[in-house]
Amino acid sequence: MASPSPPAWADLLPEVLGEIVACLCDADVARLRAVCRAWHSAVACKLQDQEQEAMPWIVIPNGSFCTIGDTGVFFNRNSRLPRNVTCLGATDSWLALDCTDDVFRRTNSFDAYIRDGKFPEPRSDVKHEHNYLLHNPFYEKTVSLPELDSIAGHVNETFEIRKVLMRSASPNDLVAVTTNNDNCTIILCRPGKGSWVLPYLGVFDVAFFKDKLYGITRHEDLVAFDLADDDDGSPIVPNFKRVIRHPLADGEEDPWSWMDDDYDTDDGEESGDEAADSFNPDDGQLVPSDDEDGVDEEVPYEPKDYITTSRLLVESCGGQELLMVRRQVQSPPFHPPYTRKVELFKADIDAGRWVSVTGRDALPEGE
Amino acid sequence: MAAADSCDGISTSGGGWEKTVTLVSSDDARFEVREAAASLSQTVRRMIRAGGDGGIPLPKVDARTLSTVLEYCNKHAAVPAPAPESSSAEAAAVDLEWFDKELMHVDLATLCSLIRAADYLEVAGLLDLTCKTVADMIKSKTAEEIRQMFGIQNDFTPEEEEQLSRENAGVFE
Repeated sequence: MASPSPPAWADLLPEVLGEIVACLCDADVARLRAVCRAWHSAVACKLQDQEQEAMPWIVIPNGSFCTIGDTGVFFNRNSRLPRNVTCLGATDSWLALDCTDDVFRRTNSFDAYIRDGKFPEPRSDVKHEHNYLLHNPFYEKTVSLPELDSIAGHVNETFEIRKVLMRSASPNDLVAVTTNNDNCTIILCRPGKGSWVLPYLGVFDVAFFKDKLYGITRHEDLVAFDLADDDDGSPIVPNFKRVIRHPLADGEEDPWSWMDDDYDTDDGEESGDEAADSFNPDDGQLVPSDDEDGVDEEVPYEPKDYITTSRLLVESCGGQELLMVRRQVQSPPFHPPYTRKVELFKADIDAGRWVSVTGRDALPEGE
Repeated sequence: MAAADSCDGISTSGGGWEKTVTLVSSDDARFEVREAAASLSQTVRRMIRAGGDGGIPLPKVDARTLSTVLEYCNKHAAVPAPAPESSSAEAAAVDLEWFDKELMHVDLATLCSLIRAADYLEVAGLLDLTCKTVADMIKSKTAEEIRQMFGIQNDFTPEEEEQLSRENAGVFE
């Protein structure tokens, strides 16, 4: 029998190394990837796969975070990050960071109360500089977002970024940002390429789903935004359309009926780069929040429970469904608020309606 | 080598005999195996379904490795007949665990061949077992100790090493 060539451990298949990595704790994995190049890249692949399986993690506003589950670890804020960062959101393994001297945005209101004896209020006449970054703490990569800086880089204290979403785990892909400013409620940008600004359309929350961006209104209408690139790779929204219309009560007027036809954004003069250039965030009134509370000014005040409904649009873990989470919070007078109800709906876009999702079996495990 | 008697391809024998298949290693040794055992390998199972005669060629596995893989398959696909002393399922599980442990008492070269074979043949249980064994060996060792144990060359440049230790410090402190 011909003697087989000595088996080489260095060129074990990446999948096999992945199996081995799965049996090890984080510290062992770190040493494993320092063994040789082949193992290093195999570990990197495996870790990337794991992240794509949506490893749950919890990010704290200062950029510290922890992973959860059996192998959960707390990661202190990276000391090489600028001191003035606030985390705005996270997609896959990327954090969206805001570097600013706007202390209001970075101070816990309770800390401020202890320090100053009053809760801080954002001032609409004081502006601050903001620099936005994408940062991957696992690979220590940072990508700047000059396109977003040029739109929301010098804004007053009442300006708020509500959500930052990346279309994929690549920092070169599309980034969607929602704000409370009605001149730029939705900002789409692609790092190094360009941006596209959508004014207030009644949409307050967005999610990427399949090849489109979807948004919901406070009436639970669902709007689909088509996404495309121009020749330079700059993002454009050629048109948008309402795909789910909320049921109307008798005699109720439909505030979004104009959206039902394909709305061609080329007709609008104030879209695209021109809008971005001439954009003045001072002009923008604050977009109404999606929170609805039951205050009636006509009735004499008496302490009563407030019920706040908030809605959130998310893509399901497997990317198969677009979900709306409707949460009701009840705030009794003189007592801490509590969650009264959480409801989940999935969008049936073809049928143009929300389908209530009930029971544990309605969602894949882990969601 | 522990090659079984050669036989012609997929043979079905009647009279209560089990269906067997013949596997041919890279060095032309022939192994006659019960189909139930051979089917633990997804690769072989697909080849059985595809049909063919003259034995199933497995050009990436040598006879020595294949015999160990088949030892594993035979044990794990054993008909669960109640043996006199291990009548309960629990005892059978303990027995299987002990068998697995013994099977992993091999040198590193053999272990490496087994991992490759388990991966190529897609024997999930064996791949799991061998990878766990390697993981246990790696646990709590430094990169240099791992290199020495497995005979791996350090092919990083000094700059890359520097970068690596920084990465690790950043994530794990």
